[in-house]
Amino acid sequence: MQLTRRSFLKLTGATAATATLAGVGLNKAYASTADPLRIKYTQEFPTTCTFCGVGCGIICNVREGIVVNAEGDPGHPINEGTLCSKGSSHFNLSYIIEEKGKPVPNPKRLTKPLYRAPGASGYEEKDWDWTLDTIAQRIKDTRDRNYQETADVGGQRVTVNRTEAISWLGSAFCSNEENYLFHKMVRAMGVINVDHCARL
Amino acid sequence: MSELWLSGYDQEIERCTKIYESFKEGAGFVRAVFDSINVYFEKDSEHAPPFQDNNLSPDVAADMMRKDTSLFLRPLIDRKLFCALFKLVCSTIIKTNPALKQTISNTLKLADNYFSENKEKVTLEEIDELKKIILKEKTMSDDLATLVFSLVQTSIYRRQLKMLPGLLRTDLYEGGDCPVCGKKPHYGLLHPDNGAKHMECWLCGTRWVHPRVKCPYCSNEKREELGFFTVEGNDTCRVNYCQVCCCYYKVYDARTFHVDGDLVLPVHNLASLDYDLLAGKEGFLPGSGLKWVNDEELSNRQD
Repeated sequence: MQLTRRSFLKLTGATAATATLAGVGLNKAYASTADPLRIKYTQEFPTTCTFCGVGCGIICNVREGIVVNAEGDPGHPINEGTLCSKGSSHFNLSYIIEEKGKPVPNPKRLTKPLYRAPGASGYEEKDWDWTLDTIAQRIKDTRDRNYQETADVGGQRVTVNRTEAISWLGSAFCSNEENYLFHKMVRAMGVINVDHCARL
Repeated sequence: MSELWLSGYDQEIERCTKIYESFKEGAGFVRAVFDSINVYFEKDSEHAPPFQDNNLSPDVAADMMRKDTSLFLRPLIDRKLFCALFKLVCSTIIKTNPALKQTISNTLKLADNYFSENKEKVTLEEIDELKKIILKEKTMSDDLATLVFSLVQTSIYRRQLKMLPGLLRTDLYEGGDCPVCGKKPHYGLLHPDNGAKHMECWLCGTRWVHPRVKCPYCSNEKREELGFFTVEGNDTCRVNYCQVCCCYYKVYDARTFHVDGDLVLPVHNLASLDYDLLAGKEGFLPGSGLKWVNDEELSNRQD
């Protein structure tokens, strides 16, 4: 079992050069000549799809701060690696992959409010202050015009304090807490037509 | 032959020559060495019979798996079998490159004289010691010694630890080390069906599912500290890394190519050794401890 360096040298003569993998053709040449810039670093971020109420687990691949791919999380108990067409297209929301395979900002992504005036044929860009003020004013006007304090129920007048002229649609892109607050807000205004895009 | 540990490797070599640009030159050697090992086992199927641990009950094994503890089965290796396979791999190296005859012969002499004749079984640690001596005497470089030793050891262990009925509960196991023998993995695959990450033990060939975003070596799950890199133009081989333990392992995305049968990952590993070099140049260490890259190759590291 025990073999000293001396006995080994005696045994082998120790004249030959070191044999490497390159000697049998496995020479890793590709990597040694490859431009280091050709390496693409990517990180995987497990998250939850926000398109609907199922809440599928997705893994987003992020390269240099850009989501370049989204796939189902195989370790997620709900979807076990699968993903619908909407979920799979997550990575195309803010960036799209151009013909040469490079991610470029999605030209169709809305970054500013667009407003189409009544009777107008097209949209015009508006700033957020104008947009939020206008929405608030119109909600108030509509509510004031259509507010119902009482209603006839079974031949009797009962207090209802509501408006049927407005409906509210919650968004799956909001958190539970945000949607809870929206719900409280619209209920306070008397809105009774409340729904959510993720209702299945 | 279903008994052979590498059935289907021929197709895998074909596939790998198409996927990995650098593999064309070495494919002939890999085929020759796998052929020789398989022919050896075909001649005598009594070699390396399946290992049985009578002290390990399925309940105890399941409990260990639940706690992410490896069964740590490391049966002793038949000395004659080890020496025969070692000689076989070395002779294939000489056939591939006769210029290495002198060097490899020296290594063979050393291996012949390393184990005492009256010892029937040897441990993995004793084999590692032989490897260290060979490396110290510089008859073989790190990468070649890793190839020869891992091939011989895995040929034996894949047969010995094959089929552990009732004991292997990979459905309960989420650990990073091999659930059977406890070795740290060097590669894995993303399953073509659902993209799940399956690690494969380089020693006994056991496969188990491991969370996609988790380091198998230090169990780090912080997604900001984990990631992978690929080489432009080839998305099949990913080098996953962890910035905490600075280790890497390779993952083959089986979704990127058509697979008829089971994948022979040892072939992919040998076909993608350039990724080990890249990982080394990027400053990462092999978490498995297998040195597929020589220190001299890393001398121009970019860090």
